[in-house]
Amino acid sequence: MSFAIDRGKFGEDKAVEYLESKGYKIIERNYKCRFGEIDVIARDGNEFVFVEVRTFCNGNLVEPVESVFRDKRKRLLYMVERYINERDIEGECRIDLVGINLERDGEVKKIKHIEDAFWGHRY
Amino acid sequence: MLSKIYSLAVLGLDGYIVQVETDFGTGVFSISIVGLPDTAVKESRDRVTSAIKNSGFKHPRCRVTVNLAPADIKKEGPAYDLPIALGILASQGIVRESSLKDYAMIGELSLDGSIKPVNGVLPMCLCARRAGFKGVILPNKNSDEGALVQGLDIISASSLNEIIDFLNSGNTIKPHVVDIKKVLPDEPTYNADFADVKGQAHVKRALEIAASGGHNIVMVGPPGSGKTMLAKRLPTIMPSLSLEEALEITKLYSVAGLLPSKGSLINIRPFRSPHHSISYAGLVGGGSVPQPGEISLAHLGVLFLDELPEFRRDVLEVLRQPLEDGVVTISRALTSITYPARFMLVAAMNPCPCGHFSDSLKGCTCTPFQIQRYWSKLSGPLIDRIDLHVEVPRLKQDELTKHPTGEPSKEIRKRVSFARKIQRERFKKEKIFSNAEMNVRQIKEYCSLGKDAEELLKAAILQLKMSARAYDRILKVARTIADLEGSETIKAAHIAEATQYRSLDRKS
Repeated sequence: MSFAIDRGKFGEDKAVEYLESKGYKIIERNYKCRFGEIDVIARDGNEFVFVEVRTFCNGNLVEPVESVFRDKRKRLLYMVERYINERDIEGECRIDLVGINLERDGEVKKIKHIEDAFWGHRY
Repeated sequence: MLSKIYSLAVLGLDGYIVQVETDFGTGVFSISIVGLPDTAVKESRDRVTSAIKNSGFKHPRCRVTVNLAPADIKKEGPAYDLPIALGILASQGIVRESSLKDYAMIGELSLDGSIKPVNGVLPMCLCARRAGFKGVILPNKNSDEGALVQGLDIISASSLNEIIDFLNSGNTIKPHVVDIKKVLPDEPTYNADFADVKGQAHVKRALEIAASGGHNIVMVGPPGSGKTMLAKRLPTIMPSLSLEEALEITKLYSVAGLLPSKGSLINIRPFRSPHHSISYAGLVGGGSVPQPGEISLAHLGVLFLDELPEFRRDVLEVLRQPLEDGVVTISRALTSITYPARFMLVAAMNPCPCGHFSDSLKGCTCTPFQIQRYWSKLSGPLIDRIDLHVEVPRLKQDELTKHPTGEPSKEIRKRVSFARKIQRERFKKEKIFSNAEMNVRQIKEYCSLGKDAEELLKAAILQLKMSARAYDRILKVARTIADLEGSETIKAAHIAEATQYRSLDRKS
């Protein structure tokens, strides 16, 4: 496995740990469809939370949570819609972002969690 | 969950009810607004989202669909912010649903949840009363305007939270009430008066006749002779407004968004003097959804066109039909709207391009050709629709230095109101209000001449080579002069005075 995939997997594990520590119940990980992949699907109280995890090594000039651009946001919205239809769920939904900064030696330096990060308005 | 809220909108001068339906569906938060919204209505979702957040509530974590019914009329403006926000809150269960069907609501939201004023409140409230609503919820700053509609609870609020409290806990806001007597005094106050005008007695007399019969008038004179000053004081001698008239004017100003922030009712006759660079759409009204133009804003008041020949010719020509009918119908691809336009046209002009033709002080430097071209701007049909022509000469030196000793407007207004009352009585069965509006049949019926008057008129027509139209005009003006005197029949003296107000006919 390449380093990038390893790093991503490592970050997702850390994110799941972090979310569980905040009382979220993890429902599913790595939900795949043809638009891509939702990293983590969890429940926060009665809300469904769809989480995109970004893991960057130290030295990157961009904040991890800032690296989710329009194309990715659009695909995430498609995937959430598809998931809702597939599993026939009902209830409140939101999309969260978790950004993780790693030190060179693999230590977690910082975790940033943005709740309800963006909306699905069509312009 | 689905919620239904009533809101109001205007098309032309009439309000109609808009139902705002809000529905939730599973998904990531998004608002989509359907029902032909324009950009301001579409943008309302961003204002609504912020206003809900800043009022201390959570926006729903689901897909929101807002429908503005009827779905086939274009929705414009920010007045739907408030009903959309309350629709969302009602669907969330934050606002009690049961109280929503009694009230219609309008208002623009600010990002912090405060409510801003909107246009067209008066026609909307009239519509709400017709539809049988208990009350209307509207912005604080519009409350005076809304309260003009009697028999409707006007609930005014300054923030979203106030309204939520009101809807959830019953009557914590008292309906706003306006005392009609206070906003519409019997004697309106103007800040100009005919007593300020020095000399020019015959022009004042002509203006008195014009105001009495609703006649259009043109004043011709050199610069600085007081044409503008006189015209500005014309509304002060016109009879005071009745409540219906005041409401009609206020409706027009409300739709145009021109109501003053202080005071709700327009209680004086409007005086509009557009600059001569005006476009025809600005004069008669226009836009993809037509807005009232200057002639409608001058409804029941005075439209003053200073420097008449400087106006573009096509702009002047569009005046012809509204002058005749008292209404203007503007048709665009989307809609066709009729606005009232019963105004008195008052025009002022110089006798020639340099302005000093027939001036006692200064010689004219214009060539005959220039003067001819200047006058040719005024087409025959337009001049024909102007009943009174008066020359306004320069004041003499001793008149200038004297203190103004003119009659105050109040006295003149008494006489004008008297003449108007006679006309109202006379035209009870007809659909007109003043002598100026008489058609040929009505002229025949109501302008009975004395024997010597008839002979004098015949002689005048022959001598002065006047047209058939001028004949009718003279009769109408003579009728008004007779009314001012309280005389049943038109006498020779009335005809003689009326004839001298046709000076432009004689020129051409």
